[in-house]
Amino acid sequence: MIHVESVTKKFSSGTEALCGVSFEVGAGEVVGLLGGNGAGKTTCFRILSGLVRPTSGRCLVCGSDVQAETLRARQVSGFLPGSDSGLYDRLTALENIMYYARLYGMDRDYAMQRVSYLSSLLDMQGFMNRRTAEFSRGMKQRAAIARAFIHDPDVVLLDEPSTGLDAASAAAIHRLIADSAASGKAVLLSSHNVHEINKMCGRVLILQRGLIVESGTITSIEERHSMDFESVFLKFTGNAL
Amino acid sequence: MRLKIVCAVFRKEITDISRDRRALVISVLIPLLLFPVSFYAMNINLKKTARSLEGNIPVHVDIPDSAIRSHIMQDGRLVDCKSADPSADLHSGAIAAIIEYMPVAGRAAIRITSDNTSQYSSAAAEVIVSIISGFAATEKQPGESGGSIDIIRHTLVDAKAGAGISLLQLLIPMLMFVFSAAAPMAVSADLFAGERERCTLEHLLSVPVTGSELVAGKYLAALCAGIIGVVSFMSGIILSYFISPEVFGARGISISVSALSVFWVMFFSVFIIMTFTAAEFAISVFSRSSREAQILFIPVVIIGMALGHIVTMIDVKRIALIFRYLPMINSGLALKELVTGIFSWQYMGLAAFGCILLCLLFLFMCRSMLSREKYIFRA
Repeated sequence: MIHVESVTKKFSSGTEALCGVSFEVGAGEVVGLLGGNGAGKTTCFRILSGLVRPTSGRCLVCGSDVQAETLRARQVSGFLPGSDSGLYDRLTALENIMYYARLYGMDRDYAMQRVSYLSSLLDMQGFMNRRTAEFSRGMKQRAAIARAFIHDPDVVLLDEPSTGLDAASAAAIHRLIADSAASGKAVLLSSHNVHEINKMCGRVLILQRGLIVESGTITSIEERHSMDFESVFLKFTGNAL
Repeated sequence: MRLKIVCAVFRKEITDISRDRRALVISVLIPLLLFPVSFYAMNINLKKTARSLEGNIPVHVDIPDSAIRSHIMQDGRLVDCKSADPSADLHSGAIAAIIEYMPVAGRAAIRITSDNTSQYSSAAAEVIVSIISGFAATEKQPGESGGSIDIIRHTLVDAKAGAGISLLQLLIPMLMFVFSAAAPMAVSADLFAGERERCTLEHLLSVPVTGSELVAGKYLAALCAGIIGVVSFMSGIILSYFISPEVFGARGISISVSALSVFWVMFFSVFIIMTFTAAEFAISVFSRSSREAQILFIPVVIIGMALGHIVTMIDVKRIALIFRYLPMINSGLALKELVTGIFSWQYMGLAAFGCILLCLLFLFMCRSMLSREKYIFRA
């Protein structure tokens, strides 16, 4: 479902954020994209969502070339950028989600069905009609996740979805990710939380200075390095800094 | 207070400010260029008026053959256009004045009718008065004038209404430019710069909508806010006129504009608001934050004021052709003409076309910036 082929990104400043990265994420898979700060995770997500053009290489999302058929690729993917929940403070959670449903071209009835499903899964019924300005970080992030999933995307790109969240919010988000994978969606997830990766990801890719330096299942990585996954993770992400 | 510390802070701030190119442009370059540019534009108009008063002043002379007629025509500055409909020609600006022989109680009298809504016509009337006064001083011919000639000054529009129209000619373009620049500021700043500041832009740009769709939707919202803002401003002014007309110097002034003129003024103002909103919209797409956008809006408001100033200085009946090719000035002039009751459809069309063109240019810039990561991730 996600096909990344020899993607390189060099910024005008000369920084090479990605150097020939290639990977695939299949249907029903949750793949963790790991790395320290500046490793290239966010650039990779931005390229996959069509916000940044790669210098070379190509990305396919459900068979659509992200650069050539950007709108089609975006239609089948849900993206949660890592920067912030990105909600409109003066709108309610429901209004925020329904705005995006309209942008995805969904009809109202189907959108309301999805809202009902997502709000129950993410435990949001109590605050759907409240303005997001008064939300806690956990509530905001749940609303943002619901917005990214509103159109039932085949591919989900989640850049650090549970950073800074309380246990209940993180658990709600994990529930939704697991549910999506079970229904055949491809999920690419970045995180700094080893326990979350251990729990959610069937396979991981470790990025270091724009290169994939390690990939495979958690068990296979642990066997290859003869140490637990947390130590492997620290070894690579520590060097990145 | 320690002077050393004050000096250190002062030096740092001056260094900082001198390296901020935008602050330099806003606080030095624009004020430096603003007056030379507006005075240059005004000078074009003044020179044209002065030149046209030196000779070939088109007038309608309705005086029987006589010494006074010969004197007036021999002066060389006036040209008798022999108008078929002098009042209509005076109103349209085709002639500058009507000179009529009008004896009153056995005394020779010349009536000079000028258009008090036109600076040129009023100035031409002064020239005619000086010519006739010259005759009265040198040619005392008892049979014709009884030793003197009375000069009766008359205006096309009655004095009160004329003063009202003159007031509107000054106020409407100036206020429209300033309000059109100021009204959409808050909303425009929020629409893109605010999105970037709140980190919602990245989310919004990752959905399957084109840049043009986003720009169009947001621009229409900003335009609505701009129109509502201008209507509110104008309503406030009208309300204050009724509450305290003295503040407007309205004693002895009657403001009467036809409903048709009011309709067209309102309709035409939309083009000016459209252009300013689009310019501010482009600034918003460019800016990192709404605060930065608001700083960059300052030159737009200053430009609005300068345009208003230039337009107020131009005689609505004697407009140099060059101003017709400058869309914003031409729009202001169209407003001024509408207030006076002149409907120059071809120039109004040209002004509207120019505004739409400028507007599209700014919107194209917005769309172009939104497709470039350099602007999307400007932090």
